[in-house]
Amino acid sequence: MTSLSGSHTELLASDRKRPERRIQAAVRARGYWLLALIPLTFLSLFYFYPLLAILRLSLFPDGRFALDALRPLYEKPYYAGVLWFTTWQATASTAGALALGLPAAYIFARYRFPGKSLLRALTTLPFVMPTVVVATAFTALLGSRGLLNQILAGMLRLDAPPIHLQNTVWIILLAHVFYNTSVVIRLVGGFWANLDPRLGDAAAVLGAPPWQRFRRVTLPLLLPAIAAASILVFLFNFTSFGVILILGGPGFATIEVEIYRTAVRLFNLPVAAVLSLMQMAFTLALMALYTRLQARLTVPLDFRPRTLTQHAPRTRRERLLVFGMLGVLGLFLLSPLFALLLRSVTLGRGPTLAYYRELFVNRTGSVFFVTPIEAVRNSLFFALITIVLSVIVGLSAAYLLAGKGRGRLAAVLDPIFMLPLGTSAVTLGFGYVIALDEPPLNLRTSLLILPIAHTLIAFPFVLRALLPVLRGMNPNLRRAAASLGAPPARVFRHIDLPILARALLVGIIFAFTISMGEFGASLLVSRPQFPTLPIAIYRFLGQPGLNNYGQALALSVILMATTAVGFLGIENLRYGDIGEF
Amino acid sequence: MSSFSSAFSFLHAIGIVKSFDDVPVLRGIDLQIAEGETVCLLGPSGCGKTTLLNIIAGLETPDSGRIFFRGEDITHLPAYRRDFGLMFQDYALFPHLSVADNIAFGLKMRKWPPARIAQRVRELLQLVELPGYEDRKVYELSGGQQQRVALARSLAPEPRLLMLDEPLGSLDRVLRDQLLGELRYLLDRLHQTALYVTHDQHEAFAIADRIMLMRAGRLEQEATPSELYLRPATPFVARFLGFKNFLDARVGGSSASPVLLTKLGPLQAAHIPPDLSPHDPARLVIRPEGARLSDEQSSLPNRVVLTLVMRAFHGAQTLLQLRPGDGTEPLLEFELPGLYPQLQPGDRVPLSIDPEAIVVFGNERTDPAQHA
Repeated sequence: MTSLSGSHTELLASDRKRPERRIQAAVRARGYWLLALIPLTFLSLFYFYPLLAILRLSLFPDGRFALDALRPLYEKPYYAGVLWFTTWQATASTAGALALGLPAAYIFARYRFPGKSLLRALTTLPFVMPTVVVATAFTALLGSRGLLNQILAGMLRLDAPPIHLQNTVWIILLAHVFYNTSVVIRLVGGFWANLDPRLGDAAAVLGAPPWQRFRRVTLPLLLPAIAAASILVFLFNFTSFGVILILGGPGFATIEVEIYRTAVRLFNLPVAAVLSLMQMAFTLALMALYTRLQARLTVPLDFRPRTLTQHAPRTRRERLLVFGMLGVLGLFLLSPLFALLLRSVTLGRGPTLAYYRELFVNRTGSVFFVTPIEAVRNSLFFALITIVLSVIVGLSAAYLLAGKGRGRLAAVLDPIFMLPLGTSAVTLGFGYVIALDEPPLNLRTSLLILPIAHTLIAFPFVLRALLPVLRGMNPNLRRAAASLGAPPARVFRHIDLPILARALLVGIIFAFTISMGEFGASLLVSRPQFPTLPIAIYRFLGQPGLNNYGQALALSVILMATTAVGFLGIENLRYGDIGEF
Repeated sequence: MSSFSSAFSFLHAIGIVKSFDDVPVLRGIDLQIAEGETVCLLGPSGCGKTTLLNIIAGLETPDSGRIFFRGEDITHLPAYRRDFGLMFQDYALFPHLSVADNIAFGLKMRKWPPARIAQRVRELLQLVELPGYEDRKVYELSGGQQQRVALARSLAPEPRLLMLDEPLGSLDRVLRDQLLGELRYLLDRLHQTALYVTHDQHEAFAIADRIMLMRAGRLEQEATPSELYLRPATPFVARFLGFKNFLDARVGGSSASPVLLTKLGPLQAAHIPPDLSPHDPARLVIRPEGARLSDEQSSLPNRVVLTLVMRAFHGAQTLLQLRPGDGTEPLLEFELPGLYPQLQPGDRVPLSIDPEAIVVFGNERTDPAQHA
């Protein structure tokens, strides 16, 4: 003891020179940068690099800056027509989604009724369905061989189908409304449900009749939510691809469809690149607007728990309103999916599983060189790789953003990690086609290119699922584990991992369903011998004959069922309202 | 302090300095703990006591300074190799583990055989009076039960030092008093060396063998609980303990029998610091229990007459708020045993002040801003 206290001053003097502390800090910093390296390298190679290739191709076609490639855009009125159609159909579809979604949002926000949570999940189902499934479902309901035409023809004893909606703008708009109504219900309804109804009561006491209460109190408070939902829905419609390609036929093209046709059918890469650039400019502007509105959404409103804002419908009028609205909603949102299921077992004849059986047969001269069911196997294989990659990238990105004291860095990185969500899949696929087919990075023939594209779309969802749990995790849990003798690796295994498990599972299911249903990017980068489910469905739809159409229906049902199971799994796994989607 | 020195080789922290983002939190703290002793770090929030605790636990690294355990330098030993226990204010129970698995966590990390772990978990649940709670989920427990599980978890691996960071902070008063008694009893029974952090003087008084009162990253006073209460070393300590009756004074009388000249009149104090000589300015505080009603015939010393401003019933005691003579001095507050229904606001109340209840601060200790 005496020798110890005698050497205090020496100890203190030598302290600053001790190298351990600096080494420790350096190790911690290096670990941090290694963590940062994974998502940043991935994004640089598979997001920024392909997009830069597009930029180079459109603005520097021969290595020099030139605007020649842009000339057709303003010289040919055709492209102005594409832009006009893209914009007006998106506007009309958004208006339709609002018209159906807002009353439904009100019902969900203010009323309690039996089976509500199941019904809410069911109304969201269309939104998570792959585009090819939705498109096929609409042909099964409204197409010339669709359920409605069959019923009407039978009832009216007609020989020809009475409804001609396929390859018209109407079926496109209907499909878009089908798709996006749930976005309006979720975003606006969620906000509305927590809005304090006493604000309306206060206005009533002050002498405002019902309509005035809605106009002067409720509507202004809802406006940011409505605006955010509108922008998001507009964005989805603006970049719509599969629905237009399949339901619209050759007569209709959004910018997104035009990029695909220009690049793949006409092989005019510079023009496709310029179109992609235009598309990106639009989507980024809309995304920026959306993010700003999202920030506005967090205004300090005095939110009320839902138990206080909701009640069961009491009067007959209320019951009529609630159940009438739910009936319309259910009919509209579920009938296409139901028609798909029904037609897949009744097409051309009575109840039959022939089209499902046909999937296992390898016909010479068919669309494939292998049995169609192999598309399922391919999709599962790609989805598995996508899961692994998205978990690696998403998990490291989540730890990077949730790291303590990294506020400023996180503020910069967070939106960067979200960028892939604002980029159209076709643009991305097109970027891969022109950037990743030559050294230094030649993945053209690699089977990995597809899951990499899927990962880019899926990992932000993994990140979003993990981040709230990671940020909300009590840091004392890790410290308690350390003080009880757990070294860092065991802290991760015994504390972090079990606590993250549910969120991670949600992320994994997201990655799985996204990969299973992804169409736009897959169409550009998939190898012909390894078609995925959506690609196989698209190819069957492009072929004449009942047999091909029947197989498209059968494959769509398989994909629909997979997606529905995955989605209902996510709904069940979520803790309350945790999760940012 | 030298009387403890042989035992002090147990835990010894020397010259601990720590800043966060260039804001100094600890400005050179020395701390010693003897084996079997309960030391309490007491201080207002932000004084650095939790940071010091984290440094001793190994969860933070000091900018400079050293920590020795039984003479071994453990300054850079990671937390998981220190064999110390730490109990958090929010308990930090693992939400995904049962009560038994929470308690067993440290034992599993030490690779105890399962049978011994089960045995030890049972023992500890017995100890904290929660037998049969093995399979309960931690979030189903009440606050007091969670507190017991957290205590059992940190005690299970028989830590060389148990640290408790405001362990009763999130409980209500009644429960807190009950658990405080149980905790004191347990620590004594287990001869557990403990370092207890709190901002609550009552907790510190009830549990500590020794209190280290901290202020803005420095040690303000180190004393036993009774010493701290009876002899607060600085006005800061007195104010932290809740004393309000501060008075400015001048030393008068002879150096053999000095008196303090105040606006209340001359006061005798039991202890006057030796460094104060006649005519020096001084600052003093009167503890609230140090006054009694007096009458003309009383032989008690320090008789003063004050004007009653307010009388409040405090159960066994009555709080009197009084205004000294000319009304320019701050109000004085005294707690007197018994009820005084006859006293009304505006009454002139004769009081006698116990010389033992007057604490006089020495010259260099008088400035309350000395460490700021």
